[in-house]
Amino acid sequence: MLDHLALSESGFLFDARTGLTYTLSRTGTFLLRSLIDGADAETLPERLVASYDVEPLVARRDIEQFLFRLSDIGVLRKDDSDEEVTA
Amino acid sequence: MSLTIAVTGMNATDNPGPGVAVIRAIRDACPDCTIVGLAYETLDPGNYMPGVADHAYLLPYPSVGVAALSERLLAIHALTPIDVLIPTLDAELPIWVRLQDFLADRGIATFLPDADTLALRNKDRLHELADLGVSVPDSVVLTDPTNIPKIADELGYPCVVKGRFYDAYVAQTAHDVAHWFHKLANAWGLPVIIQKFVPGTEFDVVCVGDGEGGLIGSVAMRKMQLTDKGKAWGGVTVRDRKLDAFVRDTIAALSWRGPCELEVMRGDDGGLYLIEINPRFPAWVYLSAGAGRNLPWAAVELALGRPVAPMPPAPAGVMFLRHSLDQILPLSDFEALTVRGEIHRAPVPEPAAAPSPPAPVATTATLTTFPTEFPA
Repeated sequence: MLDHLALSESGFLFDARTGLTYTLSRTGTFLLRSLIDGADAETLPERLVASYDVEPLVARRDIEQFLFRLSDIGVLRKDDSDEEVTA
Repeated sequence: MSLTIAVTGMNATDNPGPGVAVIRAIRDACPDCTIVGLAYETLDPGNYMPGVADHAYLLPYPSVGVAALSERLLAIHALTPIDVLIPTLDAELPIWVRLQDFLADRGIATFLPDADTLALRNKDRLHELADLGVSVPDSVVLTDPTNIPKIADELGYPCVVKGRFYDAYVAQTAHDVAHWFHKLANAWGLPVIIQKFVPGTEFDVVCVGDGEGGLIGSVAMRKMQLTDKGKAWGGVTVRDRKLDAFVRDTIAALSWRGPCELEVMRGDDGGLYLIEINPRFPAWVYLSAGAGRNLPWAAVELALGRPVAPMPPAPAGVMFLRHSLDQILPLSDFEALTVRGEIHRAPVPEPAAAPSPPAPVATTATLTTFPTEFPA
């Protein structure tokens, strides 16, 4: 559950646990919205390819980097645990 | 019957007292309440802000002593009968705590911790909270600078050097510690507290405890912008279950009664550490009303002995941004507070046993003695 995250359609992200805010790109918003709604991280590349004009290999590489970045700044740390969403 | 609530801390500079924020929250809950502002300085802007205090009075500084302060408060009480007193400044708290029963006997309710609990939150005793199960950074209380070399072994560097009452500096070396030790000892006296540095993020939590281990309500905030003194000039409410539990456990361990602000570090190791307890509402407490948890009003109701149900945790994502403005006031207002020690924006209640003629309505207009124009 990533219920500590509030993500608007415009890509404005608020982490309720830290009070920090972020601005996401359109595809970043799409990906994080998918995770918040319960999607498995492994399904993200095919979801992105289905919705955007992007090659599967490029999608997979970019998503890996995106998730690494989110993880690095602590956004993906689930509530009450140190368990993180991984690609 | 309308309540009269007295609040101290009317300073409203870039390092504001909490009084104006407390009053705004009370007014939100009780527009009909009469508010008495109690100030220590004639230039405290809260005395002159429209819609804040109905009556403003000057108090003698707490350092003058209990007798002078209580005598002045009773004189004010005779003129403007006070139902509840909410003190908001660190330096005055020990005196008001000592006077709780004295005030209660005279019809002035408070909701404050007892003297022992208040003393336990002193910076030089914070480490004792570890014995109560509260996670606090390791610290050393220094009265003798010859012990500074031991800090490397006991705490390591960096560490935080804290004054007995105010101010804190990060020290990287024993030389730094010695520098800040002497500066803080000169400013605030001994001891100086050396606290282990906890790298991480600070959260501030305003709370009201029921005095029996229960938490009536709390609002956690992360500062978004700071003044050069490190005070919040903007912030946002946060919601974290671990932090909520930490706050509940801390208030329970202390059986804290009344308002307080907990300063909590979330360490980079994921742990939570209590770095300070301020035994009163913080200046940003109006955020609690903004977040739907009006803690100043809860304190008023608790002081009056009314039951207050524990509040659910505040929602995350409510922001505040502080601002400053230039308060225009007639010289007559300043005159009234300087010469008479009081300003009245509402009629002064007639004493119950007062014989006729009725007491005059004292307004700033009737107090004016200055000419409105001065010769060139």
